[in-house]
Amino acid sequence: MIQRSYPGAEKSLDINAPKRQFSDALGRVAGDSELLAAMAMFVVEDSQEVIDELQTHLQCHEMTQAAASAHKLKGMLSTFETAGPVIDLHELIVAAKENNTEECARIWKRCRIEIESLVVEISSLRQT
Amino acid sequence: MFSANGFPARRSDQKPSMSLKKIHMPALEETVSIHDNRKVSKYSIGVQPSEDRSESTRMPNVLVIDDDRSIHLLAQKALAPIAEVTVSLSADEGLKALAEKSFDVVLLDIVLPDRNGLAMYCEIREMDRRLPVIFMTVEANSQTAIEAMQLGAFDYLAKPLSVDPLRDLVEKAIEQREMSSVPVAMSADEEASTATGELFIGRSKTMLNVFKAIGRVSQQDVPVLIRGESGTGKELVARALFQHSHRSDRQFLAVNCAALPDNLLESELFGHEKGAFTGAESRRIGKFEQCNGGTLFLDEIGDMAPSVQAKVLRVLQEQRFERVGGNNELRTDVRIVAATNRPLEQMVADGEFREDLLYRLNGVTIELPPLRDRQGDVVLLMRHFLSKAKRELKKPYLEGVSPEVVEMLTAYHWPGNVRQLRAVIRRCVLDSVMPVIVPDILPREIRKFAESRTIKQGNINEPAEEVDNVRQAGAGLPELVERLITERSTNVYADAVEYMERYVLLRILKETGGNQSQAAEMLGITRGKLRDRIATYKIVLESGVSFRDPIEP
Repeated sequence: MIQRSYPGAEKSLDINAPKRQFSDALGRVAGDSELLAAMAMFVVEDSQEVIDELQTHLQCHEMTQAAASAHKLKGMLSTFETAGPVIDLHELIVAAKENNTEECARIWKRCRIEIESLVVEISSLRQT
Repeated sequence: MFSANGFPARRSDQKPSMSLKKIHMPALEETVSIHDNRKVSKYSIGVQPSEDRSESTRMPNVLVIDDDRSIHLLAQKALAPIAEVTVSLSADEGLKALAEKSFDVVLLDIVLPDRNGLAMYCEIREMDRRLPVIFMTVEANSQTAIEAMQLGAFDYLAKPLSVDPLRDLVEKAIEQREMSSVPVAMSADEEASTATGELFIGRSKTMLNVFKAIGRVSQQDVPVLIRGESGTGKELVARALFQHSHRSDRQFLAVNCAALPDNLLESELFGHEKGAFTGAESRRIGKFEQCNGGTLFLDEIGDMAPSVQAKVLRVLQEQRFERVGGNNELRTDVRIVAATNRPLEQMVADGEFREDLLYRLNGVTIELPPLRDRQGDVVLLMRHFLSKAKRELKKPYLEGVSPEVVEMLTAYHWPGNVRQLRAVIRRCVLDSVMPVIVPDILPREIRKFAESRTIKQGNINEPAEEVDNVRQAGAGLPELVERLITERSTNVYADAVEYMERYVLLRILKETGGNQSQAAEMLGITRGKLRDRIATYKIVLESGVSFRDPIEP
């Protein structure tokens, strides 16, 4: 198991975890795996910057900006996954709009590793 | 040849727009025009560019404003068959694009990095009120999405987006854009007739006769029977008789005789004494007593029970009655105006209605014509209901209705008469998200009526030999291909596809008797696409189904 950690991380990335099939995502693009791969490329390229932005806004208690970043990240990831970390992001957006910094921190602590794991799995689509 | 992204590579001499060219087809007497159409398939090859360009044949333009690049990619791929797609990463970029180019549809993310999507939407509306804007949001139930719809957005799509629903919705928006780009045939801002105090709307000869009859009898203290189909305005006539009578300063009361059970109707009309029946806890004053000196409108009098008919007759003859369960004879001075849509004469013959009551009521009869017999008034009524609905339903951006809608509504047979027309107009105003009401919003029965009427204008019963002619025409495909090979054509695929398409469309439209909805369903394409093809191939529906130019077998 590869350990990937950052301050406050609760979980570590487990590369042996079952991989997503992204069958729903493929269905949404009418089976066009080339399109899905191209979209995966963009999401992988752009998502890290948004994750870092979100982290910064949360640390600085900039809740409005945090909500916007979480919204953007949720949009990007929802193409590939609509459950799990995407639902967590929704809860984070709600908490950020309520200016609930503690709740936001708690949710982020819980879901960041899952988000990064998802991005890693999405990146595997680029090779299909 | 295909580029790396799977789309056909454009040749260096190929211009990136639609064009027209003329070809000869083996089964046609004359040349026809076709589109140089990338919509057919992304795998079409050998498309010949032409110097001719027509604004009317350009691909629709769609602007996608979203800071997510993957959305740009999905939109471009999904919409490539039907539109040219321009993408923007921010609101400012999007506004710049709108200022520089004309678009047919905008796909707008609700949350943008530099501006709130709703604010952006309002700016777009200021630039072009008829431009359909489709919101995209990852929060499908967000208050912003709901507010956007209330403000008049065309629709919204929940993320994650799917290719097929995205394409279908954008196609629909393009169609709406095309239809609402027609001039407004009827403005929604006409002064309502009620603003001038007029109760009735109508200038047809039949309605003028009604007005004259009202004028003749309103001042007389005689009972009046108003006859007409449901929804023709019988209560309006009753009120007009009252308002123009010398009783206009007294009461006007209305009773719907079909709405109450017989025993309750009797009590409603004549009142009852305490204890007259179970539940009669106290004395009740009936309408005949309440309306003393005034006018009583008995609507749907054909549904009145015989026992109640007898009591009403007595009031008409003697101006006397008793309350239910009462012994005291009471007097009343009431003018009775009755209305019915039932055949009272037949009911008399069947023993369901009193002949003597009919004679009493029939002294003066005013016949209200059905709406289909006063087609000239449909436009006036539409105008009135449209402006009223615009005000009441708070639709300030509504401009009016398209000429096609006016035509369809004028031609419709209106089984529910004016009441139905009013309901249809109100529903259209409520449902419309564009400034101009277009045929797609009309109720299904009206659209179907219009389609069937188009067929009935011609011969819908195609003789068998005409169907055979179509089959024969379709058999020319091998000959066409051989000829194109001989001519060393570099457009074989497109020409063959066009030939096949024309044959299939004609055959299916003949199968459905020209019904485009059914034909689109059988073909597995949208109605908009079918309509486009009908126009492209000049398929004529007025005289059965055929090409404008006859087809040789």
